[in-house]
Amino acid sequence: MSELLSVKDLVVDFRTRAGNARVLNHISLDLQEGEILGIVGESGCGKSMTALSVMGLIPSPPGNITSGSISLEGLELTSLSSRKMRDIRGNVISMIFQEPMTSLNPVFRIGDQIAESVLLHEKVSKKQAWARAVEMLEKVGIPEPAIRAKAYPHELSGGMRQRVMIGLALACKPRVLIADEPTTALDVTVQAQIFDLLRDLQRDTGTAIILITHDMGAVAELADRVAVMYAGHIIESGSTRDILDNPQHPYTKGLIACVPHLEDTPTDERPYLEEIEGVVPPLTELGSGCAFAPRCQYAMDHCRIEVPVIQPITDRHKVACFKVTEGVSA
Amino acid sequence: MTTEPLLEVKNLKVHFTKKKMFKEPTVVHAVDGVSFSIEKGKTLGIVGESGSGKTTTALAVLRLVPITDGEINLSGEKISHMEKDELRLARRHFQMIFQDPYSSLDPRCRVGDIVREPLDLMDIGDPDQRDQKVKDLFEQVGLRPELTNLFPHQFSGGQRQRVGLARALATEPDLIVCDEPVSALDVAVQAQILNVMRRLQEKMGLTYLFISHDLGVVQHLCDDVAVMYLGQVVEKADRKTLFTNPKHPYTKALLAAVPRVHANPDVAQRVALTGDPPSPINLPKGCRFAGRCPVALDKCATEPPALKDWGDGHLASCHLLEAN
Repeated sequence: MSELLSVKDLVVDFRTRAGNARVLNHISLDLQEGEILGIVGESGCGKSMTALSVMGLIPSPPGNITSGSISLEGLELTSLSSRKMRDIRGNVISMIFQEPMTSLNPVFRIGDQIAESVLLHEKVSKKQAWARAVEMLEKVGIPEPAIRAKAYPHELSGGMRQRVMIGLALACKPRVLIADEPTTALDVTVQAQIFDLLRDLQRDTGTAIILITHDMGAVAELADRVAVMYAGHIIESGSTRDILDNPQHPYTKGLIACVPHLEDTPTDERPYLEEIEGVVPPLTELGSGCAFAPRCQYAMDHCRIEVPVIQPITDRHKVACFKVTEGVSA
Repeated sequence: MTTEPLLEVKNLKVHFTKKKMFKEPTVVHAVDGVSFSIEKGKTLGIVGESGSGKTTTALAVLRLVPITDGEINLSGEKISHMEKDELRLARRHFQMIFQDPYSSLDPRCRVGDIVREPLDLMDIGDPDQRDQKVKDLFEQVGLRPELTNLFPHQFSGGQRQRVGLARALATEPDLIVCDEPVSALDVAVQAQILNVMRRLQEKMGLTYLFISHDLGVVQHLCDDVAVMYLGQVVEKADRKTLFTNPKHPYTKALLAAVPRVHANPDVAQRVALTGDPPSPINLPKGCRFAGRCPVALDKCATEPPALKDWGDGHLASCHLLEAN
């Protein structure tokens, strides 16, 4: 497997009335061919901003990529003209959004919407593009694709719409697919169908997927590797099993423990859920030190002064926490 | 010893009729013959996919949608047949927490006034006592009492949901109906709210009717669980029985669809449900789940199964159980 996408030391700032908000703070990520990378965290942690940066969709102004690089197979995306970026977007990298109703155009037939994307990026006739649209609908498991291609988004259920979105995103055979909370708006039974679909498509086409979610269950089900984000930092990363079975950062631990996970054999005892006190701080009000320190029950004086740098503790498992890394070096 | 249930719902039906010009009116069978009861101090969870009628059931219990047929009793009083003033006064005994903490609080009202409003409407205590009561309620739900003068937009989602909880508690109700109270919240905040709800229940002996699509949350919070599909309860049991020994194929599929964090997910074993639930307008003749059921018999397409007790109050409606 070779490296497909690599994000290095990316810093994104938003100028707001309340001051400068650093929404991404020296983020480094890499994505191998055919891999599924999960990015988890609460809202406001920078998950979606990471996705938008890669897509070249940071609203500017107020947003701005201050420093760092995003390279796709050696091609630097941050310095690309908006015209060139448009050729890449939807073609080499594409994205599916959380809310399938608002991301499809309500006044166009779904077949036309998929065909449009094909026409923009490939030299094909309208007829060929339409044929591709029908083929994509069939691939994502929509019954009677030739008839359904003529349907409007409102005629489809939520699960069907999300399938259309996936078909649309995959129409030009992208190398990287970014899925931003693809199943949050869906029922569990439909979610399971979408997960199966994503897994099959990834296996068949070798597309690498970045899965953005707050649901540890979704990560467990799909992702090969996970990065946990907090207030614009990646605070822990590693293989899915490393992160879920052996989390090191107090935030990751809290994120896993605070959710009531479904158990197959529940006991009579029902302990209270573990809480992470407080909420994610506004990014304009980050002080010095570790961003998680005010909510962390293990915070030391050191944590409030200096920002911990993400460091490897094993081969692939990295953590940004003084308590963990100092324990290792000592 | 038999304890009198606090809430008893018998054969509840809510049908919405849509009149059409020159055509037969269409009838949406949102809730179609639902019965359950909750003992005082317990929590009943209702789970199901969207469109299964769980929210409509909650609204019907609150008398917020017209009831087509059936009976609802709260502490022996027949609230399903109350009218206007009688109903208005009875409302102090059953309150609600809503899903969206952003749209369920009036943006122009100070949060203290929002919590105080039920006390004013129900004419509980004198003005000084009401002020004190609002402060007490804020403390109970974990908000500082000096925040009463702020407006909803100055609060985070979790804090707003606490305000919603304080408002629901103001009239000291017996029953609180919670419609997806944590699904709009971030996971860390969700844990805080669920813990507050449990502490209040232990302290005040509250009874919850808890509507959710999140099976993990339901398993954590509820004593009994009812599974709804297309307007009907297809299975109901106590928490432990339902999750360890589900009987209905729909419940099994629902449980199998939830991603597990710790157990290694065995994808091959999952019974994936295909398709979506049928429309509640043209209901299938037989079992409503038959079209998506992986183990459906011939009989299922023609004859609706009855909800039967399979021992210790474990109810399920499936022909397959009778065949075995």
